[in-house]
Order: sequence, then C-alpha cells, then structure tokens
Amino acid sequence: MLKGLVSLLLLDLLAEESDYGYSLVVRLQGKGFTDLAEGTIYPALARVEQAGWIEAYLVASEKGPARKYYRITASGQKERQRAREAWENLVNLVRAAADKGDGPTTRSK
Amino acid sequence: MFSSPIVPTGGDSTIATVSIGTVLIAALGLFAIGITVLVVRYLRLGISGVGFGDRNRSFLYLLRFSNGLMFRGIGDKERRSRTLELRANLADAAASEGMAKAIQRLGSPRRLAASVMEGRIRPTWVNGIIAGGVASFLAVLFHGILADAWVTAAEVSGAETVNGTIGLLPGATFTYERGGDYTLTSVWLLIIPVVAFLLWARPWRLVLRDEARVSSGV
Repeated sequence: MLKGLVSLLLLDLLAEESDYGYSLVVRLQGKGFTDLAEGTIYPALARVEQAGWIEAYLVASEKGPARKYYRITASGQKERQRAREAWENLVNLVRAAADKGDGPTTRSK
Repeated sequence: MFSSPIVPTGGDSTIATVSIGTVLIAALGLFAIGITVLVVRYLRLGISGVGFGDRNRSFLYLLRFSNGLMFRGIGDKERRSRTLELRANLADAAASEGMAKAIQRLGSPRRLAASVMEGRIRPTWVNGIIAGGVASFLAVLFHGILADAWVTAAEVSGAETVNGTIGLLPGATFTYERGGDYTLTSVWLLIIPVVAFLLWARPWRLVLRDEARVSSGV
C-alpha cells in the first residue's frame, strides 16, 4: 500500500476520534484493512506525529502506565483535506484511464 | 639501563599507571553494571499477566527495538516513550491474538526501529560513548599488558631505572624504577577512544540533518 495512503487513513480515523496505537490497528482491520500489520501502522503513526499532523497526550490507564493517545492537529486537518483531494484526483485519473482501456479505441480531434 | 628496544625520550601527553589487577577489577565492574542494567530493563519492559516464556519473548523484542532506536541516534526520552508505547500496544495485541502472532505482526524489531526513525538522521552520541568506553578499556588493557611485560623485563635486567619507548605505540614512553614503580606515558590512551567515539557517534550527521528533514516524505 502507498505510504501516503496509510497516513491518510490514520488522519481519517483520528479525525473521527482520538485513539491509541493498537486500537487504531483494530479499527483499520474492522474497516477491511486486514493486511495492514502493526509493523506498518506504528512507523506511519510515528511519521505522521513527526510531521506535526497529530499530537500525543497521555491518558491514565487502570491496567498499567499511562497510555499514549493521539489526536489530529489543525495542520493535520489541512493535510487530510489535501491528501483526500489528491487521492480522489488519482482515483478519477485511474478510473478514466481504465474506462478508456475497456471501450472501443476512439480518438477525438 | 635496559638495553636494546629502548630509546630514551620524554613524553607528556597522557599518563596512566595500570596493572593487570586494576584492569580485571574494571572488567568485573563493567560486567556487574551491565547485569544490573539488564535486570532493571527486564523489570521495566516485561509484560505482566502473561506466561514466563511470553514475558521473556516480549522483553527480548522490546529490548532489541529499544536498542535499535538507540543505535540510530534517537534521544533517551523519546526512545523510552516509544518503547513503553510499543509495550502497551504489544500487551493489548497479545491479549487478543496471542504473543507469538502479535510479535509476528510487528516484524523484525530492527526494521521496526529503522522505520520509526525513517528520514531522521542524527549523530549517534550513545554509540560514540559506548565505542569510546570500550576502546578506552581495550587501550588500557593493551597498555597494561605491555607495561607488565616491561616491568618483567626491567626487573630481569637488574637496572635501577629503565627509560624507553614502545615500538608498537609511537610516542609512548616507559619509566621504571627499582622497587616496582613505573609510569607509562602514551598519547594513544587519548587518541584511540576519541577516534572510536568520532567513528561511532558520526557527528557530521549534524550537517546532513537539515537536508534529510527537507527530503523526507511522510
């Protein structure tokens, strides 16, 4: 999967609700991304945090030490918007190219 | 005066008086410190509420991940934070799908650490300190062995004082006085650890860091 796409998925999930690492993995799996393993998602989370698109905060946990949660930042919202538009543009281009390939060969002048 | 390999000189860079006993005590001290650090890390990183085997397996994974971050130059505070975060996530994953599968889904700890650090180039100061320390220890050990050989040779010679240079270490000088007092002067005791520190710390990465920040994608 494209690296930027994982970032977009994480930004989408965190725009819905603040969350922590493993819970984000479970939510992605629940949406059908079963092939996305933790070994891919945690580094992506770190990169998105490093870019300043999400920020971490600690929440006290009954089970053990405080847990690290993430929430989206204002620049993260902007990046999400930009990435969404880029993705939709890419999908449209691919779809248009595929549609051309399926139909009879015509060339407009 | 002890004869053939000795050329009287006057050195004054670094002075160290060493013996094999001192070196052995230092080695034992380092070993004890290493074991203590390992036990403390086991207590901190071990996941509770799982079997002994799973606890050990998760500890080894987290230890390798943490070391992977350390050797790539990540700061101590962030390294601890990321390792404890991974520990919490791993504990959750192990509770729902078992430790073996949870670890398998994480992949290699070294690769995971490298992925987390992707696009971030830093000098590895910790590496440099460790390498400098090890090099310093080895340099002292080597000088100690040489000094021991010198003392033996000087005692056999029967001379009151022995002064000379050491062929293997240009610039190093040795002074022995009857009664067992000796001084080994060697600039190599300084040069070897400093070179090891620079080679492993890679301080030139400070210059490259800004370029890496600009070029890294997310």
